[in-house]
Amino acid sequence: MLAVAPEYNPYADVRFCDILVSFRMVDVDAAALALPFSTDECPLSQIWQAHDLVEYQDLKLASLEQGYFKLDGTFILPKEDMKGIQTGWWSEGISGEDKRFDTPPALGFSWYENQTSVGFTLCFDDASGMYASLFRIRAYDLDGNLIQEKLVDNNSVRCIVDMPTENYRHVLIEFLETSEPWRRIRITEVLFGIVQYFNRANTASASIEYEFSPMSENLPSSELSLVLDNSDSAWNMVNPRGVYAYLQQSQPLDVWFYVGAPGSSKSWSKENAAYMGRYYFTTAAAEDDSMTAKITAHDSIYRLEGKKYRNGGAGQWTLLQAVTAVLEYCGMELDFEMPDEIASRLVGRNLPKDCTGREAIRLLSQAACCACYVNRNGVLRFFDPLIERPSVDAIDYDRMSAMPKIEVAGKVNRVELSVNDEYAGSGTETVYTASDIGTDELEQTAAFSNPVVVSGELVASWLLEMLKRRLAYKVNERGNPAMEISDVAIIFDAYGENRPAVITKQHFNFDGGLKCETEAWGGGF
Amino acid sequence: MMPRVKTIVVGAKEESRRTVMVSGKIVKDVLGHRVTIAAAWDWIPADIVAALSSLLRQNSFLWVEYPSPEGFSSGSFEIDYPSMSVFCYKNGEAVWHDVTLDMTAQEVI
Repeated sequence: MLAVAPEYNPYADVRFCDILVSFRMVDVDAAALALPFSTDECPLSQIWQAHDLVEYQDLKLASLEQGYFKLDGTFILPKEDMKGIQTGWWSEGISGEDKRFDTPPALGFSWYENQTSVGFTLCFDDASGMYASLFRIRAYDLDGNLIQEKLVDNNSVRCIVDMPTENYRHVLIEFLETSEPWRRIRITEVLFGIVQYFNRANTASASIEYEFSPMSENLPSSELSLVLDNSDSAWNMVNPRGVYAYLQQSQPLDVWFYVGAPGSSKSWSKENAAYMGRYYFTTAAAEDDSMTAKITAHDSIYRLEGKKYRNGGAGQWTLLQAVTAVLEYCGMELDFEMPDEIASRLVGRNLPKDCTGREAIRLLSQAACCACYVNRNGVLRFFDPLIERPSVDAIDYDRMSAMPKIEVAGKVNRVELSVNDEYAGSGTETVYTASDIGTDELEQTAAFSNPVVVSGELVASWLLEMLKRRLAYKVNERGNPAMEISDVAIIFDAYGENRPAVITKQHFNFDGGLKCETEAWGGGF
Repeated sequence: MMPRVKTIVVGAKEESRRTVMVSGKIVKDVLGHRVTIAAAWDWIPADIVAALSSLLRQNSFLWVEYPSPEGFSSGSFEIDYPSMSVFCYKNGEAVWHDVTLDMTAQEVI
């Protein structure tokens, strides 16, 4: 369960729901590969910070431009050693009384590969409020030919320049005028793209689906679907003035949901809303005769699907070592967390040849008798999906629009676990079983296969224990965006049993209002 | 230019998603309020009615200024075809009598 602000009220009788999506339509590798240069820079300048993805200034640093440094306690004196302090690029030249420069300072970037972006975002020093009020951006190709140019009048510390540019190698930003006289140019960050925001004004509907598998039978990826106003045809693939050419997989979308009483609606911010996680752009398609467009994005798990793990071998290692190795081999910068006890569980190194990174993580998780999913903070979380945890919420009769459907899975009293080691000589297969067959009971067997299991009997017993928890709930409810999968909630039912259950799946639907289809995994039966 | 309006009714209707929960309780997710306007004219020259009809055929939404509790407001409105009851000549000019227009705001507030 996410921590929420006091005014957050997901179950108000009359509530206001809102969404905010920020879509960073930024070239995914331009910042990392950029080589910055400038006409001049002052000693406090750290030009490499102009493309380090830090968009906001840490401190309001004092400097001696005329009429700038006031003794009002808000300024910080720069230190000799600027290590760890964000400044970005500062020009050496200072504008005159007419706010213009004798020799306009310029900041530029070059690349060894072509870059493409839908525009540029200049983040000036927001702490000091200094910004350029007039500047010119020029983009050049490999041969130095000018391919795009724009003169920009600006009145903000964060300036979005709508300037779609394809296949550029060099960008030069020439600063002509400052917002006040006697000022430097201070650039905290240059983004090679723009950040586009979607809210209820330009969003027809949105849905987010989260899921995890308690027995690690699969490794679902969370999915965001966003249906947008496309009346300007910007999202049509064949529109030459559209944004399609500038979309790149891995461009991130961050999502927030707000629910509260209508009176508080005007003042909501990210801080008092529920953060729904980060997704990476997958596809976009125009819909409904192009009046709307649908964007689909997934979490990091989806990106693991396209990576192959080909580094299996003989032997054993801990889950911590195995997950670290798989993510490293797949080149995924994905944080993960697991309790020490789970981290030290032994698993095999013999991951199948050519298995995907996603399948490797699933097999390792199951072999370590745990479940995993990527949480809202983008962390791959491994945990014991035990039901004996305190409930964080209750889905009662006032919160569900129909009685929950309760499914009771068929009784299984025997588990067969096949462990096939393809690295061992001619390939060996060992079958482990666990059973709990009562008197006069028919044998009901469930079969599993996992090559990286080390403690076969233990894993088979764990799977049998999990299969004894046969209750599965499906409930249509109002939706509490702060509640997460893996949380435990009390689910009211038609019989007044009101059992705790682990939330395994949530499908949030936003269409101005909010609803959620929740699935939960209950106790034994 | 439209003649002076005879009556004008400015109201608003709530836009919300209403659900009856299992307990029988009604809950709502409120999107906002949509302004509605009903305006009536004693008469409107026939050529203006024709021009208005032509405009309505071209545009789904039209910009409307109207009196509101906060003073004059304006916004984009969806306008139904005008209803007219009697066609006649007034001082030699063709006019429609008892013309009414119903307007619904494009956006909620």
